[in-house]
Amino acid sequence: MDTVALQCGSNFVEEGECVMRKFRLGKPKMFIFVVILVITLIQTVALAEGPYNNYTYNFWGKSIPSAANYLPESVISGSSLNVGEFKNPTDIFFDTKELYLLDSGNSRIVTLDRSLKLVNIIEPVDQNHQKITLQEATGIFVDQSQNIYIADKNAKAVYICDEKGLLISKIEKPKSDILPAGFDYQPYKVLVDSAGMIYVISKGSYSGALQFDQKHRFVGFYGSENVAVTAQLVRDMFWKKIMSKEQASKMARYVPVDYSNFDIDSEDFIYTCRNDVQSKIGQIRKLNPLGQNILWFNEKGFSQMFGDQESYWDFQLGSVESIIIDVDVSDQGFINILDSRRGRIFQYDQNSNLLFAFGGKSNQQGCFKNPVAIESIGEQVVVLDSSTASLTIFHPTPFAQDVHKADILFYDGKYVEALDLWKNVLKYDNNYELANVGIGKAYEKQGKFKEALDYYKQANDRLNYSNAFYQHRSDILHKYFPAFMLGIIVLLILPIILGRYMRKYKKDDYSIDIGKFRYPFYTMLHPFKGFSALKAEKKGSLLAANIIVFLFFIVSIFIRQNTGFPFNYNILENFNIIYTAVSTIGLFVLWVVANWAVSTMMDGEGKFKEIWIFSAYAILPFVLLMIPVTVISNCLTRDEAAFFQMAYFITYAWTAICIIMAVKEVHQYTLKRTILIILLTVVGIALVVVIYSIVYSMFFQLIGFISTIFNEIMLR
Amino acid sequence: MRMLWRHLSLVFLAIFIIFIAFPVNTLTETNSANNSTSSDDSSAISKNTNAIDDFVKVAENSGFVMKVNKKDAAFIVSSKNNNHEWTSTPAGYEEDKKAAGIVKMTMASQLLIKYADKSANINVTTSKVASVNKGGMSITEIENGVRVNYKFTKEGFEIPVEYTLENDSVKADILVDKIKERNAKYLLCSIGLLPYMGAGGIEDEGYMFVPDGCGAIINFNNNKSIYGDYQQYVYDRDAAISISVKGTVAKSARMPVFGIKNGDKAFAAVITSGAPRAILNASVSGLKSSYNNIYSEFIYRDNDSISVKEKSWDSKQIRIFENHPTQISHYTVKYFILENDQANYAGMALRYQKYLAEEHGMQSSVENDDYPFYVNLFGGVQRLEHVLGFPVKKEVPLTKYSDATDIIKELKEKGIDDLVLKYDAWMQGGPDNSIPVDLKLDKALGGKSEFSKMTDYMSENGVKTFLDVNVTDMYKSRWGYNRNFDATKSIDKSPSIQYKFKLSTYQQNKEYDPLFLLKPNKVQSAAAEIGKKVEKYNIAGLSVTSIGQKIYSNFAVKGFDRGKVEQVWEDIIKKLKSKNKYIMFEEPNSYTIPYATNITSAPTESSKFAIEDKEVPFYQMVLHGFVSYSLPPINMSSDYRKCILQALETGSSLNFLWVAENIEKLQNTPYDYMYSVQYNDWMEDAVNSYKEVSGILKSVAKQKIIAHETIAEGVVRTTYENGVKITVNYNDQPVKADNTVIEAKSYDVSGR
Repeated sequence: MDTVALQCGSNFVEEGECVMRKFRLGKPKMFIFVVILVITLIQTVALAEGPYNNYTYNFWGKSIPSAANYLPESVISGSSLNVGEFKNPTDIFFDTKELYLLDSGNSRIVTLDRSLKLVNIIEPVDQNHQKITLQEATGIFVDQSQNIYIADKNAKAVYICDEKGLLISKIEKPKSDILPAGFDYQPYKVLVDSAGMIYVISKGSYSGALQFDQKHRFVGFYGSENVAVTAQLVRDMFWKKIMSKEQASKMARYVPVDYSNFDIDSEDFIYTCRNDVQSKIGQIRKLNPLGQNILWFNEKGFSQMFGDQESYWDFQLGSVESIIIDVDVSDQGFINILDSRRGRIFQYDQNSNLLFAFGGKSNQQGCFKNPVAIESIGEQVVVLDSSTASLTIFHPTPFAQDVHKADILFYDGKYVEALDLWKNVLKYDNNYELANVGIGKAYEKQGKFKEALDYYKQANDRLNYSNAFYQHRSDILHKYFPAFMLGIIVLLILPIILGRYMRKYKKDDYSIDIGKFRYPFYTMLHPFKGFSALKAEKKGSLLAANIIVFLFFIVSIFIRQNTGFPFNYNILENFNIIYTAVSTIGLFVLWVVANWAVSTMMDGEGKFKEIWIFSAYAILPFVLLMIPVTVISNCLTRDEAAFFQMAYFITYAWTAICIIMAVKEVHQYTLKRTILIILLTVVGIALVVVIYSIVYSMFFQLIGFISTIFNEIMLR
Repeated sequence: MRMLWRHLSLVFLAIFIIFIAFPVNTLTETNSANNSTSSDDSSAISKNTNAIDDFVKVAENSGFVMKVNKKDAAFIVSSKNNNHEWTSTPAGYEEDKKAAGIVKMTMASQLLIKYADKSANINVTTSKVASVNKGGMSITEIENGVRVNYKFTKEGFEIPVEYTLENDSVKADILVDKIKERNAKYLLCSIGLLPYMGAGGIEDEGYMFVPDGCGAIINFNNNKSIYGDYQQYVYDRDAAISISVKGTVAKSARMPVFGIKNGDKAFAAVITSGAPRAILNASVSGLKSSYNNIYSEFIYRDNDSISVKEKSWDSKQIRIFENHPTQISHYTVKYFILENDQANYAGMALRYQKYLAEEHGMQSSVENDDYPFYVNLFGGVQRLEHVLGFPVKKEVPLTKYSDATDIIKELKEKGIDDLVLKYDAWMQGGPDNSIPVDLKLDKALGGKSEFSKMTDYMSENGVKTFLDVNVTDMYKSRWGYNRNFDATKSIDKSPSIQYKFKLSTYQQNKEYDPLFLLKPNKVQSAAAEIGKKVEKYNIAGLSVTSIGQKIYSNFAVKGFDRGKVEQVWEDIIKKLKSKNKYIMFEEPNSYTIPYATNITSAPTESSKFAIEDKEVPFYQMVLHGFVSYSLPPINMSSDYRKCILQALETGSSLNFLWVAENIEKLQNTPYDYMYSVQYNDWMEDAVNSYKEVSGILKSVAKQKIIAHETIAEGVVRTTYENGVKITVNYNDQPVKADNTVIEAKSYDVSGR
């Protein structure tokens, strides 16, 4: 069964591929990091609150406006603290009491309290009390005994100082066999768990974080990721085998992804982020002590796409997507990530549900030029901008505070307690899907399954819907047990009566020829015998065939609109009859035409009309079987999906056999030749589609060309 | 032959220059006597700047004296009562070590011009460098001041500007219709006027006021130059120039007013002519200079970048220009001088209010004890639905006519007597439609009989009802109002298309139909037609959100530019006003204010530009006592209590945007931003809040706001003419202010 995350993700992988292709053309990779925002100050919807768009994504991956969630409260710079301007600040860290700001250009650490008032300025000094000049310090961490860890990339060392800044120790490049030859140690970010283990991200290391023990001995790598196997990877592997060495070297190289940043929560789970373009899903991971990911999107094993789900194609930049450069987990367990491309913060809960998106890039409060680090102080979010050398503090609105409260209760399973909060969330933002899930859960717990189902449907939550439906179904079964039993008895008896009638009918009919309108049923039930008989007796009815094709169309609509909700990923209200007509009747016509064209070249004996009739008869199993299958799907839960899939399989297999036999008999081919001709027909259909799309796009190019000329003439 | 002409014209030009340069000499001679006398008492001016004897008195009235420097046209206005001075060039600017090059030259200039060369690059120069230093500037004395003719010798521009002293103001007037462009190689694009007028130095204490949204303050020397300068178009960027990417969410500058407070002197600068073509610029000391300055820049000839071969590898941006320069004849700024207790933003607001009353005939339409409750109802939307598999635009009723009556009834029953109703999307076809010249009632909302029942109820019960009509937006064509032919044109002469944008990627959202703007002369006829039709309904009020907020050029060959359209809009509003007793606007531009009786959604926040330090309710201070106004819809905010406190701080009415049913049907429509509008969710809150604040704000309904100050972090006090003081505490903790403890998120009223 397909999942939400994968469904949403698939199109983005497609776009990601384009980026790769562009790199191969020799464009510098840095180019993608160029800021693309054209600042145009125009008025937006007059009702928006705050200096940026507040939005979330709905189930279908579409951005929808949301009530204001986080608003900028204040901006703090070196001069506003009266400590002189910060110079190239690179990282911040909050240790439950104080916020440490790594003011790397000034080789100092500025500490602030919870309300962002100045506490102290710490200047790291070595044992001789000489000031340590930081070269390119990019990471800071403070452990439980107030020791300060500073990762300096260029100095190739992690400094460990006490709370006053006095150097205690230094972690330099370890000597170890595990390290690959020529390993370049560039400590970039550092953190320490409660046991005193030290984790260091080295720039350009693809094996995970370097792990050191309490005595600063190198232990090994932690949390290395496997290469994400994407369609792109498989395809590139194939091409690499064919291409010359030089060509292959120009292709994208596949190495395990490297972390761009990490954070640790109070229970020693490490959250990592990465920003490679190869895989759009699961960029944020929550690692247990074994280095395994345990952050899932509602269901175990499934991952969410983090950052912006919408992207677009730009001819200079390629696919324009989020670049996640920092991750933070708050004491309440909310995960904040920082997108440096659009200066945006996305907040997720522990189920990977996107709660809020806020921030932006401009010269406004709450927006950034070059955001580099994110931390949370309670519910507040602090972002460091290295270009403007300032901290921005975001405060949650009462609406966002309600979401937090409700989500925490929800996560603890206190669904009913969260009900009123969720209702209040919906009052402020009717678009907020998660609230519907929360309300659904509460009602489910209270035994109001019918209401729960409505809310789950509203939230597009198929998993919870299915679970609630299971209980709702047993409720109904209990209530209407007698009627239900009666129905089953009728269903059991009916075939016996029908069978008796059929036998009688059959007896009468046995010697006589099969009637024109019964022939389709005959070919369906006896595909091996039926089609050759049909060919021999020439009893095909064009009317019957056309009725079947028409029913094929009707049944396809029925399937689209009436498959049970847990299995149905169509947006019901977007049903467009034209598309369905093209994909059923159109496809059928295309099939017949292509088959006729191919078979005339391959000595097939079937005439066009015959092919039409035979093909139509062949799809009858699909037409007849899909109706009960679709009806039954409405009574099934996701746990019973196997039945449903089995029914699908039988239908398709049966139809396939009928089609093969129909083609074989109509052209009087051997089985081998039949398979060949079917494959050729498929190729023929593909050709027609390709040619059509070329003509279509050329037509639009022509229009574009004419309009350009028109513009040029108008302007000169 | 051609050579001969060229030579001849050069000779003429030379004669011309000599001719106009002549009066300068006469001026110096006649005023030299004055110079020597005045040089004694003003020793403050730095020695190595313009020697004081270069300044000659050119105008004087009961309060002020104006002196002009004959060499570079810099001027000083000084108060007769004290030593207050306002200068066009900051004294001692030459000693500024941070400023260099063009920045320093700008300080010594009255004009900062931008012009385009042959390859459409925009260049910047100043009157000092390109005119004064090259001998191209000449001064003539006129009544109450001087006329300075700036000739930019190389660029070939000639820009005459008059500086005159009026009662309590200095008027700078660019004589736009007399501007000449003599060099075909260069096009004049914009003129920055008096860029360092009254600029504050590094030692000075004060601030600049900008009309961003509700209004905002930029403190002098706030160390924020790293965030870049403040720049904002008055009334937004011209909407006729369509944009392809929208990356920022900003409030608009709705009032053409800016100001500087420096110590106990200040000025409020009001753009009295040419506001729609003005850009406001401000910068603080720091990276570029040691001064804090603010000024207006006027677009003489607008330009736009268009991309050729869009969506291909070699797409190119080219800059194109308006065919002809602006059609208005004056770009005028009046610098109203404010001193002592008036030298602050409240004083600026009051002075602007006075200006509107005196020069635009603004009259108070507010009664004592007026404190109406604003309800904004939304009729219905058109939604793409699939009926039997066919995509159909279907009308979804959200608030039927009968629902409107019921909601108002309920409010009345719950004790709210003073009601103002604004009804949006009440016509057939929903809000995204053609120009509604026929004002057809909607059957889905109840049709004619229900509608007249509603209007009858409203008029019988004294509910001021405003039906909103949109006279600018065309989603569809209709007879006489074709989407393409009658659309306003962008600079490339194609119809200007207004897209909607994606929240995440800032790209155009093609899911929803774009709209076209009706060209201004057609708006006039549409409004006339609507004005006639509306008489058949039993309603007293008309709401015209569209032209109140949107003002745009038509860059077609025979089009109007924005400067002229302001006049067109005013004419339309005047005519509608003559037919309807009441007229309402939503967050309107200032040209509507003299005519408006009700204003909804008066902005309560600014764009929060990082350079700004504080938001101030300037917009409301201008309106209070004259026009009834409301907050933006409270239910659209995430912070309910803050809105109530804002109502008290700004003296605003409460305002709710509501629908009666089908709120979930707003999803997947362009109106999905209305996510919190279910009326019964809010009824109780609304009634309680109205009861809480109405008693207080009724007592100041017809009073002017005479002071507004921040007395502590998050604590603000508003003072009214009649002595009522409302102090609001926005903090999460109680604060003590003047011996009264104000609870968290609460307020204190005194002087009643």
